[in-house]
Amino acid sequence: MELFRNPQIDFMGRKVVLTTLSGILVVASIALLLTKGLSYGIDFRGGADIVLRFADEPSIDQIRASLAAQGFGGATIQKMSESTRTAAHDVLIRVQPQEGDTEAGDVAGLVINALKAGLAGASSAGGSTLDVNVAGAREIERVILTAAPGREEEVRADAQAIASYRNTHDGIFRSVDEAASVPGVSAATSSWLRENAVAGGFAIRSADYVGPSVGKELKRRATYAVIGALLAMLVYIWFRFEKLAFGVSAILTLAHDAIIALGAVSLTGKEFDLTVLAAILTIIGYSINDTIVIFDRIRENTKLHRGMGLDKLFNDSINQTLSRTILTTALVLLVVLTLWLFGGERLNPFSFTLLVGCISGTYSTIAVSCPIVVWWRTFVEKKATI
Amino acid sequence: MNELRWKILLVLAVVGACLWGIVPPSEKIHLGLDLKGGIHLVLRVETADAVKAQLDSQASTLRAALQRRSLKFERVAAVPQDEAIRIVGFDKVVSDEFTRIAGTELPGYSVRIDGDDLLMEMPILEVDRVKEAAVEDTLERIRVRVDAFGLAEAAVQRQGQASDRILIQIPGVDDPARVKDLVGKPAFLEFKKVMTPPNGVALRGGGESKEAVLAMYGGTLPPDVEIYQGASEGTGGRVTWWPLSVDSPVSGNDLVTARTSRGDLGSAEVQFTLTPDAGGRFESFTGSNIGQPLAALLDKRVIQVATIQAAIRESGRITGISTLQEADDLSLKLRSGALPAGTTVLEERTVGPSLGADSIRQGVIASLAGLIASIGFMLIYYKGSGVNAVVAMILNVVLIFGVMGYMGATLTLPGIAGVILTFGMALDANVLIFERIREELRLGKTVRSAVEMGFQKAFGTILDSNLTTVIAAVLLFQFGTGPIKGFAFTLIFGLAASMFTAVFVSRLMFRVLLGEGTRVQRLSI
Repeated sequence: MELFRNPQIDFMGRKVVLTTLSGILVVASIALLLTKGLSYGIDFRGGADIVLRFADEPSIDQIRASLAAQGFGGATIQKMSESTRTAAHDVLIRVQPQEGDTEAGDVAGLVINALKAGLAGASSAGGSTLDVNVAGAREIERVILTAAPGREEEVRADAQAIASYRNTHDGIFRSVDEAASVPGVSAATSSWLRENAVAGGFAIRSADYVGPSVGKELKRRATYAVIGALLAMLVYIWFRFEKLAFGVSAILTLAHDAIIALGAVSLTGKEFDLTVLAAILTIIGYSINDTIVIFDRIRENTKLHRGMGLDKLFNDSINQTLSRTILTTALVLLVVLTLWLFGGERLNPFSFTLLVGCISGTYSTIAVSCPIVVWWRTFVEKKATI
Repeated sequence: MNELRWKILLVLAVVGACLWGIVPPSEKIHLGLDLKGGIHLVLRVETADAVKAQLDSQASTLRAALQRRSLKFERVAAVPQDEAIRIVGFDKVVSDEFTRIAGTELPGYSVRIDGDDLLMEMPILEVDRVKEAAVEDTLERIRVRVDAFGLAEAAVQRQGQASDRILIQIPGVDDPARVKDLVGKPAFLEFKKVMTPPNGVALRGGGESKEAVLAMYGGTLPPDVEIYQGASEGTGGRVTWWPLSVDSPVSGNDLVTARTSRGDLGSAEVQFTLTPDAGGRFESFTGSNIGQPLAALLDKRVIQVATIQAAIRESGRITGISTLQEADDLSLKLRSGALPAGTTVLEERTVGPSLGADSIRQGVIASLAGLIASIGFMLIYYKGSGVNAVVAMILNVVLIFGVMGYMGATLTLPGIAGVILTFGMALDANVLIFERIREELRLGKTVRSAVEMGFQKAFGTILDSNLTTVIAAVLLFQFGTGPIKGFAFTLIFGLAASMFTAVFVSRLMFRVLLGEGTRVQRLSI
């Protein structure tokens, strides 16, 4: 199969239109970033994010009251979008970071304990009984063996079976009975659980806490990484292509791609966290990759056709590599799309950013990189050829 | 042909070595905490606590030495913020005598007169040594606790060379709050005498508030009394305050062992045994205070107040613990020894096991979908030559995981994303080569020379374009934390491996397929 045989598209003839479109997108993105801004994820914002999974629809008011009783009145509580795979209910509890520089310590632990105490009956308030929704395999094993010594091998196997059943079936037991009836669990363990264990109302899905000092440090390191990547690219291109015009255009292209990707993150209200930053850096690497392929062809064509006009030279080079450009982009988009569709909620902001960045990175090579080199040569360096 | 054979052998050897590094995956490929479920915890050791403890203990040594010589002074106090000890209101007439004793009791300290006080500053190297020892001891004791708790897979390490941060990673999380309590609480046990206020009324139930207790002393505490907070009884229960002696006859450092036991009414208790030396001190202290209340403190909080019935020698017990599990944890902490300083949680990332299991499932589905989509794409677009690219890509995945296996790197969720991304990005090398071959064929070259030219001309571009992505990924690796490092790692090695597979292996496959000598008319591309 061959989609492009010898294309002759006059890209450079339309460079003003292409670049203007890019310019509008960049300006719109900057405007968005300045007005709406980014909603920072916990990595950069600090504070605590705790996701709990409830078997039954929880009462938000009750959760709020339990938290307020322990001094977490300012926490935001929000139901998470229902997962299609499970009937369980996930709730996000977000505690804003403390003012100033003081480390609050174990906020996540305090919140979880507050809820354990507050949602009486929902969980093992005293902590003396075994809660099959909070305990891991090792904990289940230990509690049973402490209370009823003997049958070590059997109890270990039972505990593992129970924990792994829970983790692959919604992550929560609705009753002790459900835990006791897990296939393969011995009768002795089963009856011990029915008598002694409880199934608390919630399980911990995830708990993150980032103190002010760590948040600040991550922000600082993130800034260094992005600036470092941009500088490294500038130096690399400058060295490799021996002309400042190429370096300048590469940097502007990268800024274009990063700004548009950030603009898209801001527009959709997705959280800007470490994975999104990783996506931005990957975009920087990928976009320059695309630019280099065309620049390489320009360099090659310069040797073959000395004195060729800039527009013609660039058009030919873009067209000759167009097939490759479209194919690679399609391939990368294909895998990023599968990542977006199947990668789950945790990777969603990451794959979304990559998706936007890959499209923008390919477009920008033609609409930003090439026109800028042409203009720089024509108006700054006053040359009609490379 | 000979050269070809060697190259084939080389490829097979590399593949074999990588497979050896992967099989069996359950042992060779380590999953990150975000996939396995677990706690990632960064604690800061409050090294200033250790300096304060050192100053306190030296201040009491100095106080005893001054008292032995019957020298007059108001009080000897540690001043932690200045890393110094201060003798307030010392007898200036014999200031030389004070200076001499301070010099012998506190070797290395700089002694100078500061107004009405004598100020002794801890030497800066000694401060550093105390802080360093506090971090090392904390590290060591957290390791002991984690081991004793049966968390053998846990990793406890210092974050950076001279930092006060400790990184703890525990896979397969149990109750995160409990684990944090276990590793982060100093568990410093002390016994102190409950003091009777000047009005002579003993405080049986503790004071209502700190101010209330202070008021009983008329607003100022005598130098040998300090007010401590009691642990609240139950949630929302009453918090009590106690006036206690500054000195403690015995502390957690004097323990030989501690274990959980059941009390008379089946309640949980911790039994402890003291060293013979401390047992002697405790016996003389309790013997002379029979009928008086004694407070047990854990981490400067009163956990129990009981009346001394008889002289206690080497063994005693702590009662009033609400659950057996708490008693277990407490005796474990006491056995491991108190942490020399408090700790503060700077960062916590807990991934519950069910979220980890979900992530693995999603990662596998996304990887398979990405793999199938890109294989389908290459086969449809490049037909026969597409097979070549697909083989190279699968080899690429084997290489990534092989390197991970040998380097002991962990596979994280972003790491899986990196692998999926290389399905697309690594194929770029194949696309560049194949498009070049097509161009050369269009120019009328023979199949074999078109293939050779395609590889030759595309190589420079492949090197350039992959290098830039690798540069960005290396920066990410430098800056990133755990899971992000995993992404950078798979991306770097994915692209590096693609240089080998797309350029070397794929070219080799073409040469084998096209054979030598015979004229090839058509190439499926």
